[in-house]
Amino acid sequence: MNCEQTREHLILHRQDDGLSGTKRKEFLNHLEGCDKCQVEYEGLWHTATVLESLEPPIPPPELLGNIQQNIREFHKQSQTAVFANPFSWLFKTLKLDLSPQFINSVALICYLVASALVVKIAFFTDSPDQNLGLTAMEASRRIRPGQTSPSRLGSVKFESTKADKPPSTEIMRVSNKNLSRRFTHNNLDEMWQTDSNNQPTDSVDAHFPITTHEKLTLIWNDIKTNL
Amino acid sequence: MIPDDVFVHKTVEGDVEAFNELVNRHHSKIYGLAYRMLGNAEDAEDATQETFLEAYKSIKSFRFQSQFGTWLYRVGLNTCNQYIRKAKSRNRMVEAYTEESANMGLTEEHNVPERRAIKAEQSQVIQAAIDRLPPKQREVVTLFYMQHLKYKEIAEILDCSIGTVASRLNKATQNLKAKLEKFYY
Repeated sequence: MNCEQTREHLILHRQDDGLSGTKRKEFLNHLEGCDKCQVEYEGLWHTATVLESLEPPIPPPELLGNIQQNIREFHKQSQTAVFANPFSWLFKTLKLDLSPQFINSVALICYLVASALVVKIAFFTDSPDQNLGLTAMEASRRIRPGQTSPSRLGSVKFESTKADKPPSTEIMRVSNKNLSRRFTHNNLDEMWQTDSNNQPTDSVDAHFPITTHEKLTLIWNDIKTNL
Repeated sequence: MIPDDVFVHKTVEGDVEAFNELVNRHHSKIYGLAYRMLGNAEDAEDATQETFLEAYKSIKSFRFQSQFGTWLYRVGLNTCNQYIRKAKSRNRMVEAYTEESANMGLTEEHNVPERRAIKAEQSQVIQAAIDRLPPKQREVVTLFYMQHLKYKEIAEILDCSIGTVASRLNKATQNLKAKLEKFYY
């Protein structure tokens, strides 16, 4: 073993099982006879001893608790469903320590209630919308007289009274199968009236806000017809 | 003493307290590793927390082919290397080193017990020398001299041969010897 090889093995010799058998014997033989390698060896040995004498740093006492708390929080978070995250955040802000299962259940119930409300508002609200009626009136003014609506949703016949009446007063008669309605529009004021005896003098088409039930019936009839 | 593997199995099954027992067993050595690798207590604390969180997240990837402690060291070293790459960490290390150098000058002026002062100074000087080593050398020095691991274990952690470990350790010790020479020879 030459000097270069010996120096490569200086550190290996530090551990008992680092060098074994013949290599260990060759290493020790060279070291005994080589002053330069001996000096190198002593230097490295001393450095290693200094490094090993270094006391291990002591972790701060709160570190263990902090890590364990972090792990618990992460575990809890991973058990909470994605859709329940806002609720989890809310409960955390309110400093309520609730189980992930409970948070998931609360979130699910809230989402179901909210969905039911949205569906109800969108499809099952039957109150006549006055604004829509007004829109129909305004639209009627722009439609030419004598046309029939191609819409199956409903047909509105517009009629105006005699020419001697003030132009601000318009009466519209609505025909939709069994329905006959008339509503009066007076500039800013509007109101609903039902009068089947009034005779029309002129007629136009306009859309009329019919009830949801009627709408659904007509759509269903339309689908059946198309099929 | 119940082996680590039992707690690992329990953790995989969803028992968070089983993992906290592993934290209890290993947090000191991971903190020691992080402290020697990063050179300051603040980063070491953060890195230790991150190491355990990362280990918890990826515990299912532990294949029981090595000791849990060895695997944890690997996770810890990866976390420390990420810290070293961050400029923030580098800046802190420079600051820490500057503070340490300043303190070293002051220790002689202050009336602290002599032995304690020498020990503290020695520790600071060695840590400063370790901090200036390249990261790969710093890894082997920390694992060999501070964590007292065998070459085989270090090779397993670093995923390299025993020869590579010995070569890196040799170079690192030579570097440290040169850096510490003026203090100890």
